Parts: sequence; C-alpha cells; structure tokens
Amino acid sequence: MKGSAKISVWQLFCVLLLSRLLSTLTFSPVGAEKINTSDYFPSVLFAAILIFLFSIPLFIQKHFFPGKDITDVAYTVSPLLSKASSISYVLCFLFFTLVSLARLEMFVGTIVFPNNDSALFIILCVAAACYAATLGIEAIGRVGTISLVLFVGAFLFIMITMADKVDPVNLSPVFYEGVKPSLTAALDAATRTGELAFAAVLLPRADGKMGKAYAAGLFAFTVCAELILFFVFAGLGDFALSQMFPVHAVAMLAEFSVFLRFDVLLTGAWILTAFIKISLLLYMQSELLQKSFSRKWNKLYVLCAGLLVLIIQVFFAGTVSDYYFAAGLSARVILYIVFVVAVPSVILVAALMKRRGKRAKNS
Amino acid sequence: MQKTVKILLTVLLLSLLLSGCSAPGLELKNRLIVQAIGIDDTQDGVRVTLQTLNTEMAGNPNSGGSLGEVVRCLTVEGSTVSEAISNASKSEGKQPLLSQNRLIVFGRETAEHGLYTHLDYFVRSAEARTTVPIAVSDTTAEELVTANFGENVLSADSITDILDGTRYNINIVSQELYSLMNQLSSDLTDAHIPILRTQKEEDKSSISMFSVGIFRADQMVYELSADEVTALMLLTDQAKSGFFSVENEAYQAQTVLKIKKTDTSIKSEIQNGRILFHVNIKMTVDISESRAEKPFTLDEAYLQQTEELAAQRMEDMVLSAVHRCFLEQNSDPFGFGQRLWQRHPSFFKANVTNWSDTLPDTEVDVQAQVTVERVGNGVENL
Repeated sequence: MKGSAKISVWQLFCVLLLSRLLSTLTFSPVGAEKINTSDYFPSVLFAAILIFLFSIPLFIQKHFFPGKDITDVAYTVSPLLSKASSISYVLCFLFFTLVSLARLEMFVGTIVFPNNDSALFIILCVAAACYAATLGIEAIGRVGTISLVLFVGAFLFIMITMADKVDPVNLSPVFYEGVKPSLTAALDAATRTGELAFAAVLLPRADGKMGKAYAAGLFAFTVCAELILFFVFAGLGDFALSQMFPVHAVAMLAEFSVFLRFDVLLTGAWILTAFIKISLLLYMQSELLQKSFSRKWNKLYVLCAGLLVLIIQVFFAGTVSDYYFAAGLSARVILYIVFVVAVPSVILVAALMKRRGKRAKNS
Repeated sequence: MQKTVKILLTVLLLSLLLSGCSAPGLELKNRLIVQAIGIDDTQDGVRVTLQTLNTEMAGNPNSGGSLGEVVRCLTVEGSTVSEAISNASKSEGKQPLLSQNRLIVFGRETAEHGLYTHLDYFVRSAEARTTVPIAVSDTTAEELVTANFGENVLSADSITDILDGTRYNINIVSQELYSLMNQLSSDLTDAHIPILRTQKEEDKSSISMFSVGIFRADQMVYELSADEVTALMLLTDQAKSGFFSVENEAYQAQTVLKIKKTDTSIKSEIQNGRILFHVNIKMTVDISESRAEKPFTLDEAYLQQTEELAAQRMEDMVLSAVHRCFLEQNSDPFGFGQRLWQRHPSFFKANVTNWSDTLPDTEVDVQAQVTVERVGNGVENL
C-alpha cells in the first residue's frame, strides 16, 4: 500500500487491540451454546494460541515482503489477482462494518435509547466515522491510542467500584463438561472479528519492528479478556448468561458512595470504540478501492461505503447483519479462515514460488 | 472558511443528540418517578402498587402542604407486571420511570405461589437496576409500599435503610435482584429474601425486619429464626459487623460483644464416600457491655471464658441452623452444594443427581475461634 502517512507499529496494535476488545465488550451469550462460566477462562488462553497460529501468514508477509500489504504481494503474482483480492477484502471489510454497526445499534436501541428510534444515532455515527476515515490512518491511530487509554481507565474504575460484589462462589468448576466447551468458545472468540486481516492490509502503514508490539498486543488482549470475564462471571454468576450484554450488566453493579449507574462510563467507551472501528474499516475499504480504481476519489469511496452500510443497516437490518449472529459458529469460522488464513496463504505461497522461479531463471 | 463550515456542521449534528427527552411524554414532569414497587397476585393477574415521587412537591419544598405528601401511591392491576405498570399511565396520564426504583416488594401469598412469572419484566427492562433490593411483606406488598412513615418521609428510603442494616446487624439480610435470580435458577442453593413487617400506630406506620423466607425453586416454603439468620450470615461470610451476647454463669454476667471482623471458610471433603464440610469461623470482637449483679475485674480468665462461650455460641447457632435446614427442611440456603460442586466436580458428577436428596447424609463440623481485641474504657464492669 503506497501512501505518505504512517503510524508507529505500536499505534497500529493499539487500534487493533481496541477493535478486538470491542468484540469482547459486545460478547453476548444469548443464542450461543451455553457453557459453564469458568470454562470461558481457559477459552481465552486457547483463543490466544489460535490467534497466534492464525497469525503465521502475517509473519511470513512481514518477513518476506516488508513494506507490502497483501494486495501488493498479490500484485507480484498477477495484477488481476491483486485487483480480485482487493475487491474481496473490500467486501469482507464491508461485512465487518455492517456487523460492528449492527451490534452498536442493538446496544444503543436496547440499553441507551430503548424508547426512541436509534436510526438518528446510527446516521450520526456513520457520518462521523466517514469524516474520521477521510482524515486518514494518522488521525485514526492517534484517536485509537487515546481511546484505548480511556477504555482501560473506564473499565479499571468500574472494576474497582464493583470489587465488593465479586464472589468466587459464583463460578462453576473448570472443565466440568470436559475441554470441548472451552475449545468451542476459544474458536468462537478467536474468529469473532478479523483484526489479522486488518493487519495484513495496514502493516505497510506502520513503522517499526512488529514482534514486540504484536506480543504486547496479544498479551494485553489475553489479560483484558480474562479480567473482563472474571469480573462478569464472579460478579454476576450465571445471571450473566441470561443478559444480552453481560459486560454492560456487570458495569451496572458498580456503585461508589451515593453515586450509582457507572455503566454510562462503559457506554461511552463502547460507543467511542465502535466509532473508531467503523472509521478504520471505512478507511481500509477506501484504500483498497484506490488500488483497484482511481486514486483521486478516495473521499468518494469512503462516502459510498458509508452510505451503503447506512442504507443496509437502516432499511435492511435484520437480514444481512443478523445473519452473521444467527449463522452459527461454523459459518463465522469459514469466513474467518477464508480471509485471514486461506486467501493470504495462497497469495503468499504463489508470490514466494514466483520469486523463487525468477531467481532460478536469473541464476 | 472550509474549517468554519466543518465546525458548524459538527455542532449542528451534535445538537441533534440533545433530543433525548424531547419525545412526547418523556420529560421529567410527565413521568411517574417510581420509588418502590409492590406486587401481589390477584385472581385475574397481578396488582402492582407504585410508590412515586410527587415531583410538584419535591420541586417546591417551601410551598407547604398544599401540594400533598412527598410520595404518592397508586395501585393498578393487569394480567402481567408490565401490563399493570403501563396501566398506571391510564390513571395518572404519566409514563412510569423505573430507573430510580429503590425497592421491589412481594406479598407473602405471592411469594408462596412463586416469583418467576413476576421477575422477568425487571430482568428484561433496560430501565430497571439489577442491584435493586428485593423484600417480602409479611402481609401484602400493597400494605408495605403504602405505609405512611410520617409527613414528607420517603418510605422507600426508610425501607432500604432497614435492609442496609445488614452492614452492622447480624440479624438483617438483604437480597438484590441479580443475586436472587442466581439463587432462584440454581439447583444447589435455595434463595432467601428478607421478610418485613408493617406495624400501624395511629396515623403512622413503622416497619421492621421480621424474618427471612427461604425458597424452593421460586416458592417461599419456610422461614428462618433470628439465630438462623445469623447462621446464614456467617455461612455466607456476610456477618461483618453487629452485636451478640453470651451468658457467663461463673461470673453471673451477661457480656455483649461487638463483632469487628469475621472470616468464614468452608471446605468440603469426601471421606469414604461421605460428604463432609469443615466450617471455620474466625471472629474478632470488642466487649461492648458487661452486665453483672456485682462489680468484678475483667481479668484474663474472664476474657478467656468469654472467648470460649462466644465461640461455642457461634458453633451451636450454625450447627442448629444447618441441622434444621438440612434434616427438617431438606434445603440448603447456605451454598454448601455450590462449594462441593466447585471443589469436587468429578465426585459431584458421579454421585449427586439431586443435591437436596443428599442433604440428610451430609455432615458439617464447625470450628469457631473468637478473639476479644478490646474491652473498652472500663476495666471493671460497672
């Protein structure tokens, strides 16, 4: 990906971590396979291992093709493959934007404005995200880093103020039904969103060595997810599994002196995080479309993607995005494997073989 | 110029978000600010009593009595809780606001019939707090919610203050909605809810903690005595502060002890296929009062005897409560089953199909250790 603006690799992993934490925050057991509360703790560790394994194509890309994103790598094989991969990634990111927006709408419509139509909020959110996306990766990187600090601060405050409600008696024994439920939950957690696909596209925009930032990001995700789940299940017990948004439900337990309802802090962090994720996704769609079509219409691409997402969400909600939630784990895993593992692996293998063939010819 | 347009556009867009309360009927003056909700079963459905804040009075505190009491109560009926609450707007012309609700009360009969059908609304509603205290009225919920504590007294406040007494009284238990839901849906721990009694004296009423109701599934089946409530507090590690007394026959004295700190640990063990629980209570107390016919010095022997008597009292109280619940009521409100499930999951899976059937064969031993930390100002009793 060619472009002048760059962010540090730490900023990139801050934004990706924030995006990943949004998925943890929006975790909803409603409709999912019911597993015992303590089985979620090992599932986070298993999920971290799976994420690491799914990251192998990313390491290969960074090692053999530094400074190139996955569509640039595809270009070394064939310009047509590059164009096809760009468009397929755009569609994938468009889908993830829809999912993020649908989850935000579900949260806002259920918790924040239960008596009002949330369409106005969604329109404003998409308009703001479109504007942020046109400002570029630098602006998104900076806001993302600050938001991560705010997110962690808000959650720490909530944890401290509800610590007296935490009781380990609420937890179930680990692996009571065997290891399978934890492994299933791990696969679900690892494939919930496609941050590794985001990284495959954004890596050339990040300066610095990836190893430490990646390790810190994965470690931070594991610690944050474990802490969030511990407070949710040790605080709420099995009641958490009956709630649409358990993380928000646990924030409602937070009380300090005469002050109640600190869940507004979490609501703010949630909306901010969703806004940054949607902005990032719109930005990536614009960047990828610039590769396939004209470079000068970058703002138009953002606007078109934003409008498309908005129209689908406002007029066809309940069909496209709900399908993702209702589709079950297998459909989500297939989508994830295709775009995060299979497509990059095929492109990388083809590019490496072509490079080796060229070298053999030259020698 | 472009920057100014952008700023103006942003401000314009943000101003749209200020419309949160502009929808018809959503302004505070058009809302019934609910302070307490009472629920009683009727033949056709449910009767809901709402204690609401008189916003006109609260907004004009200096206007005298012309605007009425600080709270207003209204009773509405419907086939379900949500229908009854929404019916309130028919008689009052205002939409109920539940986010400030401080208390949910069920009538005794309703608690004996079952609570599940009435709780779903509060779990599902985005407005209702999951930490709202739950209580059972010794008579009807309507009587408790409409109790008049005197002019300009928020009775919902007074009731929640009584329930808050759990922090400094070992005979008061409180229960919050989310915790109750956990217990009601548990196969291992029977739920408990405090029972409050209303006493009328001329125009005014007073409310006191009466006992604690224990539920099997969602129906209240029996009640705990005061000592059993203390045992429940000890076994759930909630007895953090409070007073109790011991009789010392050798000194012919009654000693009142103030609990400063309590730590209860429960460990489960499987011995030759039998389930055994070891309860260990460590308590630190101060001597609050020593009442005797003749003055005597609070010497080391007296203090040691007091510690032993207090420890014996705790052990007897817990064993007696466990005996009654396990053997007479076949019920476990203390959470022993949950601990066994946590600590011995494989044994539990292989041997326990119904926890309540296992209770008569379960053994509990209690070890209490009481330490007197301070004796107060008087070295001798007065």
